[in-house]
Amino acid sequence: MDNADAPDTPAPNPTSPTTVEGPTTVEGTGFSRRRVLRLGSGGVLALVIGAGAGRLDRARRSPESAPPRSRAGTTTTSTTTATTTTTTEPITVSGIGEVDPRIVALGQRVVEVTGEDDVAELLARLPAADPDSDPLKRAAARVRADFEQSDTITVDGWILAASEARAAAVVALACSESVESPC
Amino acid sequence: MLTDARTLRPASTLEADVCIIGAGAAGISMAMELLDSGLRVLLVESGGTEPDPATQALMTGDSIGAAVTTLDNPVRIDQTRLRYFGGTTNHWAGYCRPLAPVDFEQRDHLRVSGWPIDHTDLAPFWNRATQWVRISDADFSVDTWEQRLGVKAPPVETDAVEPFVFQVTFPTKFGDLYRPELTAAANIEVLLHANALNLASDGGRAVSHLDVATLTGVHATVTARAYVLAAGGIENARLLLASTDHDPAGLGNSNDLVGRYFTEHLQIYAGFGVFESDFESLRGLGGGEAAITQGRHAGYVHGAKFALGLSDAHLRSAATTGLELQFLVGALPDGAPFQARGVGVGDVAALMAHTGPEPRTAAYLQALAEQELNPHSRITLGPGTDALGMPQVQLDWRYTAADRRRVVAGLEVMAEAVGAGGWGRVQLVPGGVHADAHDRAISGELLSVFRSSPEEIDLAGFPVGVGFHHMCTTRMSDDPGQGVVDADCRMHEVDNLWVAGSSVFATGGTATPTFSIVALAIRLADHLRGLLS
Repeated sequence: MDNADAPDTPAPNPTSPTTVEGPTTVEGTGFSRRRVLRLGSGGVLALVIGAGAGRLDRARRSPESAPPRSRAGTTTTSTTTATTTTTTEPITVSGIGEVDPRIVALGQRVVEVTGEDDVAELLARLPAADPDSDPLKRAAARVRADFEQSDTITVDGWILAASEARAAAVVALACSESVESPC
Repeated sequence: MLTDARTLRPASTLEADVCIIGAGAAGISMAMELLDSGLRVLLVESGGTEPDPATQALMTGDSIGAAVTTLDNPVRIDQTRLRYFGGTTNHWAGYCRPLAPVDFEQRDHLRVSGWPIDHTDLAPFWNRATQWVRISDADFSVDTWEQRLGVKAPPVETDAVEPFVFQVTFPTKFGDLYRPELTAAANIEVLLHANALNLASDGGRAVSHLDVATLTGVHATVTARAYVLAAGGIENARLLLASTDHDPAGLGNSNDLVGRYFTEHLQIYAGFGVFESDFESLRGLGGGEAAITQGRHAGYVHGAKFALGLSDAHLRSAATTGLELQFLVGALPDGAPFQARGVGVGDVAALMAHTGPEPRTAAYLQALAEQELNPHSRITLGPGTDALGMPQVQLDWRYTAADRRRVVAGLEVMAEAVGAGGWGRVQLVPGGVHADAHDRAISGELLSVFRSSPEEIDLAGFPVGVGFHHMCTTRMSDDPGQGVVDADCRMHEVDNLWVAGSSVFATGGTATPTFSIVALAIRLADHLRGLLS
């Protein structure tokens, strides 16, 4: 899908780390990340992963530039080798529908527990886009892989795949910063 | 023949080839195995054919260690056993499962482990035990029971976790089932209302006779060529400790091991889960209707259910102890938050709908865990005495922080296996769910299933319940310094005294014990038949 609805002047990213070099936009919604991220039936992780339901364009950056953070209360064992990225191009997601408030609530809790509150960093730790594959299948495969590798995030006792938890966090963060959010 | 000891003439002496003390799962199985042996068998039972409060009170004792509880309710130690014909099978839930091969192995990461026999030694006796516990056969393979039940076991794609099968038989009260045959048998005498008080010995090396008494004041003596203690994991130790004719430490206790290593199955209401919409694939986990499909004996439930367990390979490699997880399955109420604070069931169900199959099923998770043997966890005699003047028992049950850590680690492995299997997500709140959570959910009390909110769960101190499984107090070992009985269940220090029941277990494992108690009893019956015939 084209980036037809991307804003002309992306808003600054107040929470991005210094390694984030460019703006982020939500493709297909007409809003920047500061406004709203509308997610829906395509699947949260599938959507955030990108390809298919939406297209996520991210430039790569060196892995050492965004070390994972940990905080008390989180039992995260990260074996993920996801490419961490510096956003030199806009982060765009398109083809999205209604936001499920339950996922927003969960994502907010993930942020509270993990302290991971930077969308760019979170996105960077999710699988890279692949427009040639089914996003739902990719999401399910990634979740399974996370569990197999003990790459989990525990939130209020729920043992979640790290990728799905971070995807929910992305949704929550995007919603929290939105101006016209339906979240 | 059935004899009421209260009708015996005072100071009677009864003679037998084999005197079995206790008519529970072990004692009755042995007697049934010896029906046509030609041996004269005297089966000595404290109670009658019906429960009696005065007799039950003879098992009163003190618990001075960890709380004995079903999580929500403290339990007196006399409530965990039954003292009448049929013994504790009178309240047995009927879950059958053999011990696993790894249970018999020496595990170097545990202070005490290993049996002097292995899994294959018991295999033929599990086969024969099926007739007494009334299950169809000793085939516990998942494939077989998937076919028989018509449901799939939960998909597990990790080497650390595997599904396994319980066969369920209920109600299987040995007293009711086998009393007619035992009463009619020419070589069997069942002596009811006879309480074993003392195993008199000749210098501690052999039992000379057994002193018994009734609550009505009748005393009698039993002499036999062989004596078998089959009174349960607590009472076996109590009678040995109370038999002080030769040694104040008790009979066969020169190494101070009688009563030590008392172990239970740690029972933890571990949490909650949401699962994929394919309820059929999970139906076997919940038992219920699936567990009724294989009725062979009219009037009895007989069937099977699946559960998850840590694999033998994991137990060997991960330096941990056994853990099994049962699922109390029900439909997922639409939109139910299930808890007031934090991440609720609905939140995770919504997330899972986007990252896997849409969940429609909920389950409470009940874990049963093995604890590491601890010599300080033990049975001793307390200061009080019962109505017959016998010292009451004192239970100092202990489990450690390491036991708890292993439970949490095992549960995390289970949760990851469920997620990797692609069929659910698990919330671990060990001890945080009410013991009657399933009933509460069914009755619509959805918000009351949690004892405490997840953030209040103490992973170092969560509450632990018991399985009413009293094991290892006369544990089996080739080494008299490590155990009380040898591989034939004979007391190391007493030539004509054997022990039957879960007190001879060398480790607890995670399998419910009754099926193996019966198998070991059959094995012992064979041994004595060969020795005495």
